[in-house]
Amino acid sequence: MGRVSVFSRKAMGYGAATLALFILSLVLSSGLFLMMSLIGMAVILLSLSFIPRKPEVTRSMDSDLIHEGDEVDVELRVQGKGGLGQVEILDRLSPTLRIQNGNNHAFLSPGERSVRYTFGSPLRGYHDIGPTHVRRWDPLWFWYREDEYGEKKRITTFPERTSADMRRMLKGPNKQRPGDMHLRRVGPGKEFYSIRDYVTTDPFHTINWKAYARTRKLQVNQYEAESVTDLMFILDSRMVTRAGTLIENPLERSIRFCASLADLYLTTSNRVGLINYSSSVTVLKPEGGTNHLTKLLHTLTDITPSGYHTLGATVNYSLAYIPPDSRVFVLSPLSEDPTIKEGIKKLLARGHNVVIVSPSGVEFERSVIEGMITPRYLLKKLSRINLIEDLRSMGARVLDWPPEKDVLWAVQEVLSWD
Amino acid sequence: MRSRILIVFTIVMIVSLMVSAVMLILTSGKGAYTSFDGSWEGLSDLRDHLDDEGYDVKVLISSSSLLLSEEDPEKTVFLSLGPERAYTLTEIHAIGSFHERGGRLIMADDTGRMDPLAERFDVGFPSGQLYDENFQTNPSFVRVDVNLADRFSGTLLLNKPSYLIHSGGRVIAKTGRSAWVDRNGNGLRDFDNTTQGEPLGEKTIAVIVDPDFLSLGSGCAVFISDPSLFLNEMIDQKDNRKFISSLISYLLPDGGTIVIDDGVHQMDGAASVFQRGVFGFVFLLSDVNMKIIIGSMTVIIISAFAYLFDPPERLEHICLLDRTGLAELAELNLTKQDVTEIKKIILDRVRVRNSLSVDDFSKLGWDDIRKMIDDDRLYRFVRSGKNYTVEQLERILVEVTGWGG
Repeated sequence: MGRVSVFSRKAMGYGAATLALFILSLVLSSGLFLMMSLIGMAVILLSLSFIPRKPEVTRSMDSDLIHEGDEVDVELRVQGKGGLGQVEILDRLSPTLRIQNGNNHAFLSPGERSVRYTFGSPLRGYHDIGPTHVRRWDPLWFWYREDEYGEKKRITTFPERTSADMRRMLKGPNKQRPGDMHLRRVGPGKEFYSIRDYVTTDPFHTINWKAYARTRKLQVNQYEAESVTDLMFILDSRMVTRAGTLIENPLERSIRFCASLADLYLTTSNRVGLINYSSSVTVLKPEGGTNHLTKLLHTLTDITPSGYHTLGATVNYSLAYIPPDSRVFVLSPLSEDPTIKEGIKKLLARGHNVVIVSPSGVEFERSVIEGMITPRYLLKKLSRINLIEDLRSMGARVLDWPPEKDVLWAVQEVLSWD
Repeated sequence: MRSRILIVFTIVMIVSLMVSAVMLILTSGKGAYTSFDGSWEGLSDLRDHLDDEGYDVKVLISSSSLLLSEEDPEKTVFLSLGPERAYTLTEIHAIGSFHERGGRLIMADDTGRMDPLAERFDVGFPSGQLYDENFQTNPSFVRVDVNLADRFSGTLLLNKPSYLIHSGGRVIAKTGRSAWVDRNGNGLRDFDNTTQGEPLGEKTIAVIVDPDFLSLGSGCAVFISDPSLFLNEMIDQKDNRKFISSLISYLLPDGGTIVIDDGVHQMDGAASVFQRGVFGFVFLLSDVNMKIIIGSMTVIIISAFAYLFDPPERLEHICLLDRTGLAELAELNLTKQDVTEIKKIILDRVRVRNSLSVDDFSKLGWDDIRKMIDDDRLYRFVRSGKNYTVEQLERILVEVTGWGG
């Protein structure tokens, strides 16, 4: 934003009154009114002449990577260079951040000043901080000159993870072993690891003939050992999943569940993938390691509810990315999608262990309408009960997740099924 | 620190002042019957003479409507000589008001342009040049006797005068019996058998409308049918200067202010542009109707400006975290279109409760389904194709809720 000068409503009122007095003085030939209008004009001219000089603004924050619920301390230093008037500052914050302590808006007299405040980030996402808006007001608050200082900074808020709590409470998840995971040690696997001398018990097909030709000595290939747990999340992030509040809705619950469980599995040497469907389908192939956890968390952080893609179409598209026999978690409120049964059926038919974690969309919506039980609520609830019963009868495990239960409860419930 | 606005404003003010000063200088000394004109047809001698006699001489270059704001009319003479335009209604009102408040007027004209104003005083300026056998050098220069309330008596020399008709007042100058008026402008005296007739007789040249103004404390108006006796060229002819001095001292026995109306005279060149501008401005501010219009316009403009004015955005942090959204419950109540879904819910409940697949359930007959539902009302609802009201649908839904668990 370039530098702009803006007049306040007070200035407009004052100017209009002065003009009216001037016109009246001419029309009524009144010296008193003329004097008053001239005094008014003089005051306006004086006010136009004084304004604080441009300050220097610097911001410091204690972190730029946090998790939902964390707080960040910010200090703004404003170094003014004197002058009459007031300096008004607002350190712009993303609307999805909440001021916890202090204030990001302040009126300061010219000089060296500092402003401290703390904001909380209850919602995942990439949030912008800054630039700082500075208004330099004249002494009579008639007008100001507005500038922006500093760059826009971005903080990353990862979804809240309850895996640490879970690790304390649980000895560890029961590992399924349908997939593979490189363990950086020798063992059965497909990836080449090293060469060693042949021993008589080695299978004949492991002999490396090129190495034999080079060294005239029989040598065999060794392969990297592989773990075998693959976990795929199919995350429903359609527009309908945002029903409720911005912080508490089926999508946010699903994302927190996904982040928690993925963290748990990845830190115990498993592979986790993610299929997200909203206005399109995006696939994060199953991988392991802390880097992949970070990648997954960034993907979850960046998700925005949109579109009307269906589960059936998503499964059709992404089956090729789901490792055979891997465990599949479908995270969806199961609403407004006539293809749910079709999609689940396909996954089951392919031999996947399907777990459906379903934050109840209608219950989240009911909490928004102050718990009213309306005819439509009954209709949707009955419809949902039928659908869940159907899915269970098909062989899927379904967790009907009410809003009052937290993520830890959901994860415990799911893990207790293993 | 000076703001840019202040600098621009200052420059505009300085330029305006300079232009005004130049215009004022240009305004001086141009045009007939104007106070600063030093030529034969100007009034500079008159202005100097009055100044020398101790009067406060002011020149009005815009509009006589400014007389409304004259604070001391009893000590002011308004001198209007040979106007080159008719007075506007506002000006007539202002002059009349000035007179009613005790103001003194000297109105001299030979063109008839002052008639609308003179009518207010029951005086008229008929058209036509006055001739008399009593002239000097040229029939256009007529001599008349003047007698000003025993203060002064003498002879005036006029240049192409007219004459006055009036219903009252005191005549202070008149012609002899040999005077006549050339009504048709042919330069000859037409005899009585012509249409208008140009008879011989005494003609009034100057009249005081309110001769008892001093005793009554009222205003006073003097009408003269020839303004030329005030001109530079004529003021020193015969007893013209003395007459003027006597008349002024008669009207202002204790001295005072003399306002010469240059606003009714056309000036030359750039000065006329400035004069018209000032006249327009004064007219805008003095005309009663224009006052109403300007006042209303000002109120409307200020109101419109206040309405259209977009106040600056208030700086504050806007938090959207408490926003809520609805999807499936956006519509709270049922509609008639929900009947299909309710039927489906009932059938699905039956199927799920009996652990049947969709395929198996579809093979069942209606009798089997009736037994499974075990509720005639719900069964009839499922089978029926009739229209249900929203209230009926709600009752069925409540029943299904209890029935289905």
